[in-house]
Amino acid sequence: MREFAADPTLKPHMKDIAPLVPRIIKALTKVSSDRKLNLVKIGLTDEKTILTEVAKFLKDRFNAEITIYGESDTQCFDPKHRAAMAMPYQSAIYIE
Amino acid sequence: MSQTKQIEQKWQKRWEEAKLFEADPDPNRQKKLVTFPFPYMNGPLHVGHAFTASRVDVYARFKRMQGFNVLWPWSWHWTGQPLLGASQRVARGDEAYIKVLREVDGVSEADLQKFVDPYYMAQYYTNDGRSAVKRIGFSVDWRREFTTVMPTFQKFIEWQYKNLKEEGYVTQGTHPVVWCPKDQSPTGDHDRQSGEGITPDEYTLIKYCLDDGTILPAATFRPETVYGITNMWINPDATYVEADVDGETWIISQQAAEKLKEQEHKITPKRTFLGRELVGKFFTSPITHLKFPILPGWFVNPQTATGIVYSVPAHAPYDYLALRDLQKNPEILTQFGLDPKVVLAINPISIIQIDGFGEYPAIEIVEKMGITDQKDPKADEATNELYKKEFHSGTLKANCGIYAGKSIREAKDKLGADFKKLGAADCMYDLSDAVVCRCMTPCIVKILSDQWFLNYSNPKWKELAHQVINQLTLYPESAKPWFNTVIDWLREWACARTTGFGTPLPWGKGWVIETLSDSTLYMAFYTINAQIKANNIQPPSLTPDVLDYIFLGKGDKPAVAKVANISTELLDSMRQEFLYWYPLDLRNSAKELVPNHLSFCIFHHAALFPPQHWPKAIGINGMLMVEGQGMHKSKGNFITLKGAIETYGADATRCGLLLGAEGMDDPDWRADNVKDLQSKFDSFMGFTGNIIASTKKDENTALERWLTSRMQQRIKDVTAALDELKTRTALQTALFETWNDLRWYTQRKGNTETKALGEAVKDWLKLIAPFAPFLCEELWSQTDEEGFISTAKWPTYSADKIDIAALEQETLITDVMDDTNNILKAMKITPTKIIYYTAAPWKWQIYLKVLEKTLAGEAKINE
Repeated sequence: MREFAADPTLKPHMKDIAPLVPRIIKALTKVSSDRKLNLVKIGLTDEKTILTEVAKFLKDRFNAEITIYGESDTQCFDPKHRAAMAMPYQSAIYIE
Repeated sequence: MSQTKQIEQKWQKRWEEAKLFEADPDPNRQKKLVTFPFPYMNGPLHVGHAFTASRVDVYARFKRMQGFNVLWPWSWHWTGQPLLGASQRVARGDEAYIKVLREVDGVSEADLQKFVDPYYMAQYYTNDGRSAVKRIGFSVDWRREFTTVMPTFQKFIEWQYKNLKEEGYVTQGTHPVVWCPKDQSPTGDHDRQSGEGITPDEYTLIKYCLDDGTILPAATFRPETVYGITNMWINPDATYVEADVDGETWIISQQAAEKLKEQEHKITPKRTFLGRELVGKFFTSPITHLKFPILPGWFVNPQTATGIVYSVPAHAPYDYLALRDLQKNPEILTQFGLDPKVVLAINPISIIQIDGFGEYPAIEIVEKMGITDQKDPKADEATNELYKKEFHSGTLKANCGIYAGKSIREAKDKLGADFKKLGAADCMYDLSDAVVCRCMTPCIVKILSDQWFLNYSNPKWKELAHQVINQLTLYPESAKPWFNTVIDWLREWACARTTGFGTPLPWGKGWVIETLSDSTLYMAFYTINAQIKANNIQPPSLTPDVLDYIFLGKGDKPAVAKVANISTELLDSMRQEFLYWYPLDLRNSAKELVPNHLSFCIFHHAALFPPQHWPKAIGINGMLMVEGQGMHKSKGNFITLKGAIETYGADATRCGLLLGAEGMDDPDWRADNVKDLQSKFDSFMGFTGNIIASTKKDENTALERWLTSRMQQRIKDVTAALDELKTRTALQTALFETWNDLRWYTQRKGNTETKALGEAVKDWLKLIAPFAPFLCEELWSQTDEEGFISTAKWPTYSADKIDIAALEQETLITDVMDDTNNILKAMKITPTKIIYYTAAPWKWQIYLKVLEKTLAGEAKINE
């Protein structure tokens, strides 16, 4: 936490970081160390672009209209306030 | 004709025309010699054979595709009683058996008539078997085929036995053997209709005495319990004999009198009577000289040993139970004129100290297990458990004379030998269960004098055999302790009999080497048999000197060649061929052959060949069940290999068998599963054929990179599994898991028109080819590749081709879909609109930092 506090870009999110870290640690307990090494190598992943590219496939699979937002997109339709739940490799989902 | 059958016939023919599986030495290529124990030809090949042999074929095809020069030879075992017994049953008009031949084996009336000739029968099944082996697609080099009655093969066996005798491994001696009184011959495991694996048990007979000096030889495995005797048990309803035995008067069961005649005793029966006559009498122990009563014991089986049993209720659960039963119902005793007080006065005598038990272990175990009476089947279990505990950790108490304080393990044999020396004991051999010869005669134990034995008791030989085990690879490795136990346990083995086919013992008139003894080293004969046949080498040329030169490199080449009347070039060529193919790289068999055939193979290689020619690997698999039951002709669940191929096709039969099990687990053949597999192969043909026929566009998106990466992982897993003979794991991965990958790709892509998919399908076919060679060959011929898939290059795993980002990207998509499905399941709705929110960049920053920390082991949940 101290490391994160020292980073000025993270400053605005400090109150959200505290609950996020244990969630990440918990999610990572299910990941093998081989895969963790791969995830480190890959680094930042543009999930929004990946999902946007498969939106058509998902639409056919679920037979539903598919929309993808980044959590911090300004024009984000989020009636149930799900976006804040999003984690790397675990997008938040809203269904109606 | 079905499409499957057409495909099978087409490729069987093409492989034969191309001589694809004929393997000759090639110094530029590494070799693999793989074998399966030659099957007996007293019946058709069945799916059990096919399961075990399919594992060999899959390995052979895999290694061939990996570039090895693979030799996979096949032959037929005609030796011994099975074939002769079968033919005799036909000749005798055994209706039940003839019905099976007609209905299960499908033998025609005309052929049945001729089955009275065992040679005809053997040739019939050999031809039938060869056709089935070809149809199932085993990649065999048929130039090396033989039957064990061929004179050239018999020259090899003669050479083997001559050398074994010279090395001192074949000895003449006097030993108990399982014996068929009708054939007048020892009856080895595979000469038996039932009772395989049963060996003579040695009982100690304690010579208790009646007052008039008549001996009651009570049989026991535990002579140390003599000090704990309280009474004798005689079955009041069984027939006993009073007989003159080697000058003494003995009382024994009628059956025992017959048995002892064959065990070097001179027996003259004097009178027979019912056991009840003895009940109530008293007798004296030859060790302690104390007197005890004879009581009625209905549990005493007159078929077992002498039919006389002494009672040790403190340590033998049956004795305690029988005594308790009598003490509960003392009125029974009055019919024998016995005073109930005699029985009520009997108290167990404790003689053995073991940890975890008090004074009377038998009583404790009976009470602990809640055993009701002497008829309770749990009594057997209790007996075995206590016997093991007392043997391994028991110590004799102070009341055991000079043996007091000794452990049972050290005292047992000494005590038995001492008693014999004192004239207080004798011995007898018997069988723990019925053994029936293939000629349908019940077998007995006979002490054979001057008989020829393979001396597996020889400590030097055992040590060498352990060395073979230590240097070889076992699939599965967990079988190693079993092999070591068998090596220690094996004793003198009667290696010849008087009836049946086989090679005459070179020095023993009238004796023929038995089935399990001529099948131990013959894998070496495969290496030269193609040359023997091609050059028409006659049996007289295969002298011991010639074979010594070929297999052991002994002797002067020109001299040997001259005497044998063959050219030095040919002699040398055979020597070189043996040196090229040997050692054996894999022998695979069902686990039932561990205690005999496979262990003998190890012993004989150890005896005659130097370490560089010892077997390198042995595979063992389970015994095939059919619909959950043991397969047997009499149960009506016998499935011939020919029949299975006819119904399901060769590829589905092979794969149905191999998906059943691996390791030493028993596979179960279920018709429904094989049918299901058959229809899966139909969809496989459609799915794959469609991809092959599609145009090939050069695309390289993350999805293609995912597919290529995924194939690399499958290649790695299938290769690793096959290298360990895990045929089930390999097939499951190759066929089903890889299929899922390709299906996913085509769904994601929405078409089948990419080069990447075309390449993946070719690799996929290669991974399946060892298992389903016919279909894969057919599909391969539809691709742009040349040649047979059977000899195409096995795909090699390349880490460079793995794109981890592409793999993770696809995982991300499937994870999101799984999450969506879970929510839909919980909400029970049909969605109209789905929104995904991906994590903000600052969360990624935190995530990656935490990820690094967990890898370094620094992050903890309570941080």
